Amino acid sequence: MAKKLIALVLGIMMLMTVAVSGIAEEKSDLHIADDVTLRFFFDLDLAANVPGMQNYNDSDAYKWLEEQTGIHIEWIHPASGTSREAFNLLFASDDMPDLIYNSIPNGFVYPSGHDMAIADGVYANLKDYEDLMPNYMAIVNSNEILKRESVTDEGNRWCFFYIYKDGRGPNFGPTIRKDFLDKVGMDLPETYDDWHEVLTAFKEQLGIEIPLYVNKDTFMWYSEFAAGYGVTKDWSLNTEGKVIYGPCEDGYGEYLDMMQQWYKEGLIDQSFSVHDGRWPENDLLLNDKVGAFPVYTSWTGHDYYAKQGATNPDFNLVGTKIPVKEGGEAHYRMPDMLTNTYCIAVNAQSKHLEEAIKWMDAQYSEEVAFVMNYGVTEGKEDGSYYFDDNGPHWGGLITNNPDGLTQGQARQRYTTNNAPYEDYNRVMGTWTDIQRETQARLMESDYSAYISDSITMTEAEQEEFSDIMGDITTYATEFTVNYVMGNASQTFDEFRAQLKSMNIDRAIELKQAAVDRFNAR
Amino acid sequence: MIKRTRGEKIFAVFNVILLSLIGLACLIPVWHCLCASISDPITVSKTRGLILWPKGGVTTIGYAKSLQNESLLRGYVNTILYVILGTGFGVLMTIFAGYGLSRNLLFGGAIALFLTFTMMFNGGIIPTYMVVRSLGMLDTRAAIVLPTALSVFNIMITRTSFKSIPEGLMDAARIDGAGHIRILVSVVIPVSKAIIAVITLFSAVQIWNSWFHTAIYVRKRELYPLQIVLREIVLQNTSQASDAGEATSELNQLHAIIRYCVIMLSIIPMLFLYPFIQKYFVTGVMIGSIKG
Amino acid sequence: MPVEITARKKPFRQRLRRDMRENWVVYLLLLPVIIWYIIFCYLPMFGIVMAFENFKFAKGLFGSAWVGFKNFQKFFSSYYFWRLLRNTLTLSIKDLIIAFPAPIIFALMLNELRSRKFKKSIQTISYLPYFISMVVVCGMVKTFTESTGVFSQISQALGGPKELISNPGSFHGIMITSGIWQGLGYGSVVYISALTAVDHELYDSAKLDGANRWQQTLHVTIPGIMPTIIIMLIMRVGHLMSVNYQKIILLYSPATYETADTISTFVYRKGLLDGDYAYAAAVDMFNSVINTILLVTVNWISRRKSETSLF
Repeated sequence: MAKKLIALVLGIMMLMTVAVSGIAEEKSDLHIADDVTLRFFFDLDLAANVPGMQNYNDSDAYKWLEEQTGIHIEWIHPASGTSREAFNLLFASDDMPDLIYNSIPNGFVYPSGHDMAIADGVYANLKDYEDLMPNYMAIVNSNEILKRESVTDEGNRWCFFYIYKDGRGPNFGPTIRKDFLDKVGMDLPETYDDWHEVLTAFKEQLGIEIPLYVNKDTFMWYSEFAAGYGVTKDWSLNTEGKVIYGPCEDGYGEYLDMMQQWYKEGLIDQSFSVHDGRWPENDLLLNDKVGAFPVYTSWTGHDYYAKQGATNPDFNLVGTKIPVKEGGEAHYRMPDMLTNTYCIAVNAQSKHLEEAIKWMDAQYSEEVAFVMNYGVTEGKEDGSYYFDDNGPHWGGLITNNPDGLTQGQARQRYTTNNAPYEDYNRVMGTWTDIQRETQARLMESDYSAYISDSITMTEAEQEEFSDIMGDITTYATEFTVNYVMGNASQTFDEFRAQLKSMNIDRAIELKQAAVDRFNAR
Repeated sequence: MIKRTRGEKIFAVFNVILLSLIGLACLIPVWHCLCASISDPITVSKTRGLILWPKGGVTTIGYAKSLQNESLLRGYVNTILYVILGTGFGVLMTIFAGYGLSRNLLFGGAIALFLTFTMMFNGGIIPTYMVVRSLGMLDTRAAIVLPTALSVFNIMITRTSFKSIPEGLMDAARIDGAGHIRILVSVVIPVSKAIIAVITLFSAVQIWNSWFHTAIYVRKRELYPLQIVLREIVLQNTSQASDAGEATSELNQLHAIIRYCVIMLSIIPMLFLYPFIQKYFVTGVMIGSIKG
Repeated sequence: MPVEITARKKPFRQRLRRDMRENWVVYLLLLPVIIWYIIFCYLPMFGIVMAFENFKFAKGLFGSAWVGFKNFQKFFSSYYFWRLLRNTLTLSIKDLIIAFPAPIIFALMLNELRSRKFKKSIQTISYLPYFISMVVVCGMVKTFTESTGVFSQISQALGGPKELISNPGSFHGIMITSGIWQGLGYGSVVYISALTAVDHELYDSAKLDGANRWQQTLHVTIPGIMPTIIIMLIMRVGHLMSVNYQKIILLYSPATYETADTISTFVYRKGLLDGDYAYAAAVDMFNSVINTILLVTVNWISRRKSETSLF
């Protein structure tokens, strides 16, 4: 009997030990390695701007990640102003970091293209390591577009893309001063004719210097005002899905004529060719000199600019739809809403290749992604996140930081600013009604004009393409600006003929081929 | 005292007026930077045009924020060190070269050509980086000071100046049995204080202002010179909007004035350097040197 | 036996021995300088090879494929080649004619001042703008020359262009004027130093001959600093094709491409598109070759006309 009792007790003790050790091990489920340091070449250190932080490692999210995975990250940042050279020199040096940040829109890519990066043995071909990256692969394979974007034409997987979990709606578009609109008693403009009326009223009745602010080349950042004519300032897809080069199309001529008229009437910034910011400088904005301009959705409303020092207490910025022709549609092109611009490539020669891949992949798992997005402290008032019926939200630590950090700084301190698997809802959760409405309006446009950044060309094609486009881009921008200012020495048709003689058709061909290959992936 | 003619007097007045205007034109923008740097940031961001008086109240917040960057002090120390090392080395070498080329050497022309050629052709930053790297100089102070220490321009103006030293002076020394080194030390250098002051100034300023090469060769923060830290300060305090999405932080409050603070932090030490150099721009150093 | 007066050049061997005997110390002094230049200038010069290659980082300088003059052809066959060349040269030449004499005149004017204190203060003040960063300088320039800026207002009043900064015709003027403003004090230092070396005795004898201030300047001062002026001029000509692109980038716009777009800015924009280092290297080489031709020419002329020359 005693023996049986002892056996039972021992048995229970064993079970308990197993159970307890099981729980203890569960914690280090994410554990990858001990004593490994990965060198990560990343964008400028925004964290260093935050009081109390030296670099990204000081954020709660990264601290947690290091504890969990056992991997320490050594951040390498280019010295300000030398990013391009620093990036290229990485390839010339013999101690390339393990992880390298790329960014297609900013030109941080391997000089001869992604496939060559793999062929040259510089970037690892992640295709060969897919079993080490289950989280990332699951996400990528669940979406047709992501599947295509994340590989090259040859089927090589060259990097980890930073992905938006539920996509990211448009967050940049034309906005207008609602308080001015109220003063002249008009509604939000929708068609070009509406805009013309509104801007004229701004100018004549309110005496506003710059009714509409446009970019250096008249197009605003994403060609907002040209979308209604079916064109952009350069490359897009038309309604049939074919590649077009904006300046070659009829719509472009119509757009230019409209802009020229508006310039003559003083409705657009008379010094537009010199102002090269995406949106006007504060000294114009805050002094009520601008009526409408393109800007981020999250800057609309009253508060953002009030904090900047807007003198007018009625300051109220509201987003509008993308303008259209009477009864027409806007065929708009806003960059990718599934991936962020960051792409992380892995050094093929890295001594910690597998660890690096696993570490990156970990950030795409639900658990880790949550921490990277929302931090580690729960609490509505004093935590970095809390839950309600709609899901997780940022908590008081971020939205109303007790130490006086701005929201952006708090994001750095408690979460990360750019999480590989970003939940954009956390940002939209902080939006006011005006901002939500703004986005809703932007979403009413059709986004099929967009050409993915991930299309690739072969080296020879790329060279030919750059050669042709080098001259053409200069020519097109110069003609556009001069035409709008009324100084053009050619007519629009002569301009188009000139483009043809500069071989634009061949460039369109090349681009179309790349898009076709992309679609066939 | 020789009487001045009426024409000369008019000219003198006109001269003073014109120079004063030039002085004003040079001073006002610097004054603008100074005033802006101690003005209220929000007021400055709303102002277009020159700021001739601190606006919105005097604030030292821009400087305070800059000083928060713990690399700033180290940046000053580093740069002063680099200036001393680099200028010392550079000026010495330049004097040697200037002297050498001012003598009638058989190979003088060839060497001058050798040097001038480097002014016309250079390999670019990438090959230079490779050379520096293969010398094992990456991430060292040597890489900051050496690769840009000499300039053909400085050597040539030194040579021109040395050449114009009257032969008589040097003959006198030679008769006393002096060799080249002696002549250099006891005749050439004392008489050329002005040009040496100039190349010292040029070297020092170039090192003081430089950041690009250092940024390419050096990663270690402890070695960072002033300008890199200053650029960092500006970057950290100006808008961070990226194409990726939102601005990562709200427009930083200091962005309007931080550039000015940084400029002042850079200029003010220079203000003390120049008068120092000016002492050597004294005429008549050669009076009485050749007598009989 | 009469001594041979005609100067027949002694055989090289003899001259060499004499030179070494007399001047070996000097050569020793020159040695470290020469070594420095070999290491930091001549060794990297092999990078020029890039201009003839299809340069790939991974393959390095010696592994990349040789393509001969292809990169150059790309450049020459650009639609804008002649315009870029024209703009580069006209801007540079205008700058040479207008901005080169400015520091000299400034130095001479300073020289005429009687008050030492005033002279020193103006000198110090004038050299400050050099230290204001380019971004801020260009910001100020734009503020003054856009349609609401002071200079544009004046221009409008005088019937000129509405806005100076976006007017191709005024672009060069803006570049040169702002360049003079920024570089006047700093650039005059060389001449100020040269002025101190002009022998006082020459002034005295000129005064004895009854020369007034103006004549003194013409016949004593200017010839006195002429070697410096000539050397500076030769070196300046040797940089004719090297226009500072950073400043132009900050000031230009598509409206002014017609006169503002130079070789360096065009290549910069192209570089943003495709990071083609070989192309940039080829263009650099082209610039250097032109610069060298100009330099050698001016140097030769100078050697003939005066005793001063670079080499």
